[in-house]
Formats: sequence, structure tokens, C-alpha cells
Amino acid sequence: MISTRININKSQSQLFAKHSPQAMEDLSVKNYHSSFPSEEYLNRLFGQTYVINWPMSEVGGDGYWAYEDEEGFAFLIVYDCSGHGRFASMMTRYYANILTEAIKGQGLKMPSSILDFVHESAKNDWVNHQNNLNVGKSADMGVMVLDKSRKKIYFSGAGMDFVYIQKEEFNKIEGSKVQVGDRFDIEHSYSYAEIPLRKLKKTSCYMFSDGATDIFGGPRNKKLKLSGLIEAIVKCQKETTLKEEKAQMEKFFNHWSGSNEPLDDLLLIGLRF
Amino acid sequence: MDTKQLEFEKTVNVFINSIEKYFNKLTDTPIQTHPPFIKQPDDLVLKECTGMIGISGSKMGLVYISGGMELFRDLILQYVGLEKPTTSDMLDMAGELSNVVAGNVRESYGREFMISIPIVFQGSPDKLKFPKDVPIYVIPFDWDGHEAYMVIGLK
Repeated sequence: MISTRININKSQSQLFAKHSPQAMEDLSVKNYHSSFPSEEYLNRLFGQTYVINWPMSEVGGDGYWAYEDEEGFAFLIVYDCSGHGRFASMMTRYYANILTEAIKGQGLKMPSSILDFVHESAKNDWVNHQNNLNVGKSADMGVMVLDKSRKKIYFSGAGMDFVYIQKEEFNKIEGSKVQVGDRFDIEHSYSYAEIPLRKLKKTSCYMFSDGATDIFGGPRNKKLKLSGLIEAIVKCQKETTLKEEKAQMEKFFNHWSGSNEPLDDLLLIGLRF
Repeated sequence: MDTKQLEFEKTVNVFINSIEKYFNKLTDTPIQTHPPFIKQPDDLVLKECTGMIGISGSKMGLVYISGGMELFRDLILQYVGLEKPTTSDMLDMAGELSNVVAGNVRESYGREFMISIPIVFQGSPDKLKFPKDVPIYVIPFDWDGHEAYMVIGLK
């Protein structure tokens, strides 16, 4: 199911229903959401998963990409492109195409190599056009690879972390602070961490865009921050399944933001292996 | 010329100024607008790709901008720098263009001029129906060799 928050008042929606394409789909919204894998597909690759993807307008710059190759490597890449709206949405497809080439075309397996490839590709495309860049080209990106034969998880991040929660205790694998598609003047070199799958039993893992922690609201109308997000997840985890946790987290985000207009796209992906 | 006609022409000019401003901001090539005409009921003034906005509040109706894929491709190439935009990218560009043009018009008319989120579509969908009680004005324009239409129906 597609989760979007579209703020449109009643009179506008009534007018639109009357005067314009009745029940017509907005193709750009449909294309944005359908360009990402379904939860069913993610479940087949990783076990239990859920996705909360709330662009701040009808489409946005947060995205994710998943695939399993013939050797049993399952990839989940979460990315948060600069900016919002339709130009950022274009960039989600731009990065999805590079990821397809990196993983399906070049056969890369290690997350750090994938990030290096993505950054180098963006650099080749944009470095000579820096004066003409009217739209943000950089992205935060987290690459998680599940090696099913060796029963290991590998993670590498560019402006994105990998978080897992065990028995209400929170752990974080920090990514590099340097985004892909940015700072072409410096050498980018991404490293990766590995975790044996047995360490992640009965553990929930998360990758998310900064919209999930920067969301304003609560009693003091402040940013949720990572600590607030973890606290909310831990509370929601008292539910038994990830599906129930998803519903609780959606409720939580709505409750936290209250009447605040969203200021950023929000993407949260939860996994249990 | 009656008051309604004058009022309508004023509104059309606001839209023309808005679209001219947007193209000037995005590209080095200005648009050329051509004389507006009233759409006849059976005319389908649609190109390959259209971004449409509903308008309510102080004015009621709709506005859409319709152009060929090549227009949106070249806009993306010039403004964003993507050399091989996909169809989805071009649809996004159509939505962005209609949204910003209508948004700029809103600045002229204030908060009572309310715009919906854009709907983007390809071709001539069966479900597209124009309001019957409103004259639909078509403003043809060219940009960089591409012909397009801005279509306004307001009361």
C-alpha cells in the first residue's frame, strides 16, 4: 500500500473532482511509488520488512532499491536525494539507474564498492557541469548486503547509518559523513562493516532518511532526533509483528508532527531477518 | 468590452507573465506566446504530456500546460542537466511547470486563489472532462522550437 500525505483541503478536492480528470491517476505520483520495490518483494529477500515512505509533497527525493542475485546476495539500498518534490524525484531514478548498473551490470557485491561506483558515476556525469547545476545532485545513501550463504550482513553508508535494536538496546553502524555525488574535490573512500546474521536474531534493523529524525513536533515542537526515533521504535516494538510496528510508527509520526506541515521527505525501512 | 471580459483578460495576462517568468528563470530561451483562442467543445487541445491544476476560492476552474515529450526533455536537459531523462522524468517536469506557474499566479491573487496539487497525464484520457459552463481559453506558445499550450478555464 502506498502511504502518502497529500495536504489538500476539502473545497479544493471537491472542485478538482468536479472540474478535472475525475478519478484520474497522477502519473508522476504513480511512477514515483511504483519505481520502488514492494514490501512483498522485500519480504521475499529479507524476511519481515516494512516501508514508510512519505514524501513531503506528492513525490519526493527519498528512495530505495532492492535485488537478489543468483549467488544469494540480497541488496537493499536506501537513499535520500537533495531537495524535494519533482526534481528530487528525478534524482531518485537517476541513482536507481546507477545502482542497477553497479549491481546487475558490474556485479559488485561489497557495499563500499557500490558506493564508490555510485559516487564515481555521479562525478563523471556532473563534475564538468558544476556551474550549471540548478538542482541538487548529491544523496545520502546506505547500502546493506545480506550474504545468504555466509550468513552475514555488510553495510556501508554515505551520510546514512544502519541501526539495530536488540532487547530494547540500540546499536548503530555509522556511515561516512560524505554523501555520494558531492565534494568532487576530495577523494571518497567508503569502508564497510560486517555483522554475522546470528547476532541479529530477534533483532529489528532500520535504515532511514534524515526526514525520520528531523520531523518537527512533540510537546515542545522540536526535532524528533535519533534518540526520539529509537524511543518510539522501542515502544512500538511491544507489538509482536513488524506489520503492527509499521502501523504504530505511522500513528506515532502523525501524532508527533501534529498540525505541522512536513519539512522533509520521510523514509523508514524496518527489517527482521 | 464587458467587465467580465476585461477581468478574464487580466487573469490570462497574469498566467502569461507567470509562464514567461518561469521559462526565463529556467533557461536562456524565452517563450513566444501567440494570440489566445477559445477552445471549441469538441477540440482536444492536448499534446503528449500535460500537467493540470484545479483552482478554487476567488476563482474557479482549471489550468493546464500541455506539450510534447521533447519540450520537457529539453527543459530537463537545460535546467537539471540529465542527458537521458526517462518518461517519468518528463512527466515530473510537466507537473513541476504547471505547479510553479499556478503558484506564481497565486502570489498575484493572494490566499483566496487556491490551487490543487497537479495531476499529470499522458495523451487524451477518456476521463478528462472540461467544465461546461466556463469558456476555455487556449494560449499557444513556442519554446526553443517546441509548440505547447497553456489552457485556462476560469470563472
